[in-house]
Amino acid sequence: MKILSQATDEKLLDYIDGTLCAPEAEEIETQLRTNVFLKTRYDELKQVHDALRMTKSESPSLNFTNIVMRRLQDNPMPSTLSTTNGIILLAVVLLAVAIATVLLSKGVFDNVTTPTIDLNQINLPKYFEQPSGSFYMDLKLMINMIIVFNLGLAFMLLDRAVLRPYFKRRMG
Amino acid sequence: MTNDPDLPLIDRVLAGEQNAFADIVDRHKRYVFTIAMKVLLNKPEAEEAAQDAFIKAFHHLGTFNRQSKFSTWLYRIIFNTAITYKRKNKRVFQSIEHTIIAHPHEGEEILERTDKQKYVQQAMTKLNEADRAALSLFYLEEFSLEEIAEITNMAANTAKVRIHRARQRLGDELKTILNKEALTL
Repeated sequence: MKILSQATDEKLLDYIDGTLCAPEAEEIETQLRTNVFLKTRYDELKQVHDALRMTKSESPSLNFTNIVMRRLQDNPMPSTLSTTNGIILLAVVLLAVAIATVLLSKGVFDNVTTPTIDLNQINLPKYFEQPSGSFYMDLKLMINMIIVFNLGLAFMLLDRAVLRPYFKRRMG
Repeated sequence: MTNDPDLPLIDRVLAGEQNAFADIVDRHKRYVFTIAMKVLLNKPEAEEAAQDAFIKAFHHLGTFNRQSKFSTWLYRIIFNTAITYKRKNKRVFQSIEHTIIAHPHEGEEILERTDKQKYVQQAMTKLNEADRAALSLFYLEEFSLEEIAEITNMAANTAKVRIHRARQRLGDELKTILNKEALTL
């Protein structure tokens, strides 16, 4: 029964909206003339429809625009990377990567390590276990890691500063 | 979307002419505020939410992809902003010291409303925010069902169903309210 009345309500609303085809509209009109319950429900929905048709847009305060513009001046757009600055930064990063790669290929960092750090000489409070041993880092490995990091940074800059603005302009 | 009347203004704003944004605000503030009011049912909060929505739109103007109308994009921002306000139950009461209150026209309109309209508005408060906003947009007759669906985060084919269901519910609520009124006479 609930499903039937739901379907009936939807038909009545379509009829009120004027979106029913002519034969269906005529069928509804015939039923409204003979079915008291249907007519009552139609009247209820029509009341709602007529009241809602009086809906008007509402007005904000008269100085609303001034308030918005003042807030924009107080909170300027967060700085974004301009295309020119992005390209310059990208060029600098790629230059650094190129220099590091050339130096690596020439063997400048071969067998070069950071100074050895002796953990025995570190004095920790008595509650902590005293570490032992020493360690150093291979500078060649460090430079490789820095190069990989800079390549990632370069791809990010390429995307933000060059590719996105270019494709956005093309789509616009 | 090459026939969107807002695009020339948007291009001017993106080129650095910030004052052009004031024209965009003037053009859309009524509907933005209306949507906020339908969600929040509170004028100071709706005013604050509407201002926030315009600020957000300005800061993200570069990300508007022009696949839909600018108005649809903007009204979706205010709808989401108002929903966020509702969920946070943010009570920000705007100081009216520098706020210019609208002309009493509004008061005259209120006087002219019939009782049935008043009861329908009362029944509207029982709907959820999305249905209330969708229904109001539908009866403003400026938006297609697809646009209403996009603004209120509904699937396109469910907007019509939800608007229908909302009106059914209003019909039931109105009957209840009128019966109660009759009993108090």
